[in-house]
This record gives sequence, structure tokens and C-alpha cells, in this order.
Amino acid sequence: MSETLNAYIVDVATGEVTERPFTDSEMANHETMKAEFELRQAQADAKATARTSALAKLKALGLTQAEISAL
Amino acid sequence: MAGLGRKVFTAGDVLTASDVQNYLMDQTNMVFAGTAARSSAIATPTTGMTTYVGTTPPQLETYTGAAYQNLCGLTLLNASTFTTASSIQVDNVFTTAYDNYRIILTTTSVVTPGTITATLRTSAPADLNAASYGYINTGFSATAATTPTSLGSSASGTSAIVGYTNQNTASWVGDILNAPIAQPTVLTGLTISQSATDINATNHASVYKVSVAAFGIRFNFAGNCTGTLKIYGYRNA
Repeated sequence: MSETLNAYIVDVATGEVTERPFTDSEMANHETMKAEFELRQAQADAKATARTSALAKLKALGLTQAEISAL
Repeated sequence: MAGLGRKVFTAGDVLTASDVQNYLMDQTNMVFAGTAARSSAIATPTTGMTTYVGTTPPQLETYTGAAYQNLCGLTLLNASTFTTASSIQVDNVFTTAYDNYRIILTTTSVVTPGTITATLRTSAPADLNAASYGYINTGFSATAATTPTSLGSSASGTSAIVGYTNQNTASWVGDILNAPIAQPTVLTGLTISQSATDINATNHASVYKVSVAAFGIRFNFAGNCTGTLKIYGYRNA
């Protein structure tokens, strides 16, 4: 079961504080935000994997760690 | 009236009502329950009158000739403590009483790693959600376990990504410029978050590119969390 997300709202002009569950619209925005993050995470993971692979290939070619770090 | 300076009394002087009023009453720090009580008690303030207003949070303010203002740097305008909230929204906190704002947002528990986004708010209040936020984040993650290994991003959308959270704790410290005036509103800040095995830090800059006044702000996390949000105001001069 997914977590119930909540909103904490303060109106400084009136001092009113409201705590309530997300509305449907807020849930939709949240899902969009979550999808953007997951896409960004996947891109970052793919880049990290490619970097690790590239470093291993450079090492296999005979480059020292110092030479790889100097690139 | 205030502004008479200091009078040195000598033995045998007659203490007049005028001296008590002008040197003592009007040049002391006067204490009021709220701004309405202050206005009622001092219908016509004079420059230099200083008051303590016991609102939440309390304010120590001096009358400048035009308005009561805190002349001593940052003024705490709102302190909120939230539990189990994914969205923290503060409306009607930005006013023309201050030029810029400092925000300190800290969480003591973050269950779901992800982004922290910010959306500015109108006086209605409602979201300023035209697709006109531009933002750049640059940062580093100590490990690739649960956080983005590359945090650089630049995009536009209906909110600005102002940072990234890891599990456990996250803090965002930032400044907001031009909020209460009809100019593009600028946000700059720094996020740091950590889990048991990781730490990441992100520098952030963003702008809402429409020339409108912003009166509030909402932060969104990827999941419910517990923490505090403090908003301070400060002036250019």
C-alpha cells in the first residue's frame, strides 16, 4: 500500500495552520516530480556504469591509475 | 516624542510631566501584545520609538518615520515544525516590509530519497505555476548507492528543483530575492543530505522568469518527512 502524503500549510497573515492529506491534483504533481527524479536517477546510473566500464578498459590497455587520473 | 536624547537631572530639579513623557515614556522600549494594540496606544509615532511586539514570533521594531522596522539584520517571520508532511507551504510571508528572505529548511527523517522542489505562491494564495522556472543544480554524491551520481541539471518547469535528498536528514539553506516586487524572483541555496552510507551536497540557483510578486513558497519532498522550516526577512539597507 502506498504512503499517504500530507500537506502542511501555514498562512502567516492569519496564523492559520492546516494539515491534510494531498488532493488529487497534488498527488498528480507528486507523481510527475517522482517520474522526473527516477528518469534523472536512471541517467545518472547509466553514466556511472559507463564510466566504470571505460576505466576498466583503459586499465586493460595498460594505463596506470596515475595516467587514468590525469586524463 | 522620541528623539530628545538624554536629559541629566540634578538634585532639586522639578520632574515635569513633559520630561516623564518625552524623555522616559517615549524613549523606552514599549511592550505590546500585538501591532493593533501598538497602533491604538501610539496613534502618531515619532522617529526612533522602539517597541517589543509579543506576536509569534515576537518582533523588536523601531519607527523610522515611515514604518516600524527591525533595524538589526535578520527577522524571524515564521517558524514551522512539521511531522509526516511531504509538502510544506507558507503563504503571505513575503511582504514589502523586507527586500530579501533567508530560508532554513531541515528534516530529521526522509523516508524516500528524491528531489526537493519549490513553487512560489501568489497572495490569493495560489501557485505561480507557469512553466517559467529555470534552475541549475550542481553537486556531488559520495557514493552511487541511493543518490544521483551526477546532480547537474538545467531545465524549466512548473516548479524549480532546488535540491536532492538522501535518506535520514536533509537541510536546505537559501535566499530569495525580489519576492515581494514585480520582478523575476531569484532563489539561491545549498542542500546537504546524508544516509548511513552516503552524503551529497548540491548548489542551487533558480529564477521564476515572470515579473510578478511572490508572497509565499511551497517545498515538496518525495515522501513524508519530519522537520522545521524557518523564514527570515532582511532589507537592502
